[in-house]
Amino acid sequence: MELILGNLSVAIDNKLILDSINLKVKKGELLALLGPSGCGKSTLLKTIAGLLPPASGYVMLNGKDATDLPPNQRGVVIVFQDLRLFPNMTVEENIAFPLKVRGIPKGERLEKVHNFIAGVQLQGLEKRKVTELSGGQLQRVALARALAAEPKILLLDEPFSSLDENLRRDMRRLVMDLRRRYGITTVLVTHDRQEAFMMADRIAIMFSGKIVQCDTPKNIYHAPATKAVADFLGGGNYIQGTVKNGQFLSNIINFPVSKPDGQYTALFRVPALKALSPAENPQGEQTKQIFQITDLYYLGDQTEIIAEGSGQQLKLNISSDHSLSIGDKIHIDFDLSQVVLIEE
Amino acid sequence: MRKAVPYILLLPVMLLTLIFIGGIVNVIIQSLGIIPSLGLYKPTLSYYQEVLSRPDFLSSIAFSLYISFVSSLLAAILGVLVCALLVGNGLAKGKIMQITKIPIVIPHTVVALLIINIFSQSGLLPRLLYALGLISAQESFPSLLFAPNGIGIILAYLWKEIPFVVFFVISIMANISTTLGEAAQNLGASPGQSFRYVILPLCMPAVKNAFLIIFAFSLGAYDLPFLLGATAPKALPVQAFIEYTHPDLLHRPYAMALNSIMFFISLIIVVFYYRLLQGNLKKIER
Repeated sequence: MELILGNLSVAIDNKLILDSINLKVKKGELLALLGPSGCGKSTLLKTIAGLLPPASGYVMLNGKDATDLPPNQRGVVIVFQDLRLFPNMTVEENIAFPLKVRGIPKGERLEKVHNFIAGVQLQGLEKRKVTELSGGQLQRVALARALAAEPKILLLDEPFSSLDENLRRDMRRLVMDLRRRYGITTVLVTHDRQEAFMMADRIAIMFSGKIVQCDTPKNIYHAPATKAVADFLGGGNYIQGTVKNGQFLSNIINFPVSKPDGQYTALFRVPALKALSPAENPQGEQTKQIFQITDLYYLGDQTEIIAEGSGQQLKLNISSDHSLSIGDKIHIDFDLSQVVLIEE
Repeated sequence: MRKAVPYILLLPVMLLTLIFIGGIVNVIIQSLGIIPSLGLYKPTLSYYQEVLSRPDFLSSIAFSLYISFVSSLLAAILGVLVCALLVGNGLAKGKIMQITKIPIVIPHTVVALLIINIFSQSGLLPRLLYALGLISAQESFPSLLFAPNGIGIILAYLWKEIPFVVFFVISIMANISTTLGEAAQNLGASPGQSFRYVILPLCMPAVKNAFLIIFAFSLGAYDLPFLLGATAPKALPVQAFIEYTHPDLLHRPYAMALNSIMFFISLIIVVFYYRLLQGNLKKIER
């Protein structure tokens, strides 16, 4: 099912939480809604599901206006961050709940429930109370219950945030697997950029109730619309400068670009910088400046270096078998194929 | 000195507990027929035997259990319905909730007068119905007060206890409704199904607790059955008071036996209450 949000605004206690959201999620697509905590991601999901009324704007499901449709008639199901499993029911009863309220006969219901239980690998736990399950098992029950509701659109509200890294990886795989199998249009809310990059067809970046950029993971990573977006995707080394006659000019580095004249910030992510000893000739000859190491942080395979020169602080990684120490002087090689120019 | 502070702070409670336990022990001893000042020394169960076999005492016990059970059950059912209406319409907080709390603070004696003013045959309701031509005479309004079926007492208890149930249950219900009730509707349940399968079952421990509290209270309360009850049967506390104030002091063990029966029923209720509470705690711990 296709989902379209048009100029959607939501206010809670007279405070504007969502501000004119326009978004289209294609049939079968997985869109990740990425943004910091409190930016309105969960509010947006609740509004799509009909649990919060919009102050203005519309929600369209498959081309039909669903703005005033009650939540139980939308076919839009949320897996809540806090899961909201029914503590008075067993695993089986929780998963059977959406089928029961739709009036599906008991025999058929049980058969379907067992299929969903097998789908999320929870065999043997059918009769357990949900209060007796581990975090990962609870997530699986919540997923199976949502799938049992046969949603046209599945909304996942940071569903893996409470799991440890290994379980989270397993659950991501499971969700991607289930989505492929059922082909459900999915919106995944997360503040974990890796999760968004790994799972999404497209990513919508949200700040303070507004969607600031919506594109494929690759495009967003390589062409962030603003410095805030770039920052949220991991940031790096920002060098302020000017583009004049096809040349980026700054006090650190100059290089040719194909951008119109104006004020720009050049973003070099950490892997785009390479440390060279003063004896080596800097490749490309873009900069011959000397930087002094002010800090070294051991990270295992690599060591993070903080270096200063020309009033600019730069961060880069080197292999941990280095022989550098604080106070040493280095050259820095800038990999121009990785530069991201952000217009100010 | 610092070590003694908690004990000093506990002293008032300990003193009250001692008085309470002392009272109960005294009642049980006297109910066994031991009142030295009246020349009764030999312990006996004969007062209990008599209380549990004399028709007027038995009907008192039955009548008290009946009014307590019916009023508490109806209050629980109606209280839950009121909660459902308030929560369903987003009124679980704010002015309406303040209004529902008013009956809780009004004394039972005042409620009795209110019930008399409204429901007696010369009260507001018969007059209104008569003025509207719905009844032929004020006297044809059924006599609800001072009747052996205890309807007046039950009405007065309902007026007091429905708000208590609402007060006791509504915050839990509102909380469940905004989390699990919302989830149920999101999974395709109608508001009715969400209430039936999710909200109500999860509110039941609180409803049961509220029921036990009002049941125990109404079983032991004297004022409403005394003011609104029939000459016969008399409620247990009224009968006990009559026996206690009987000019013949040898009636006192009967009063104490009746009190002990109320105490033992209340004790059973307390056990139920704590088992419910323990069950809830275990669920929370899990």
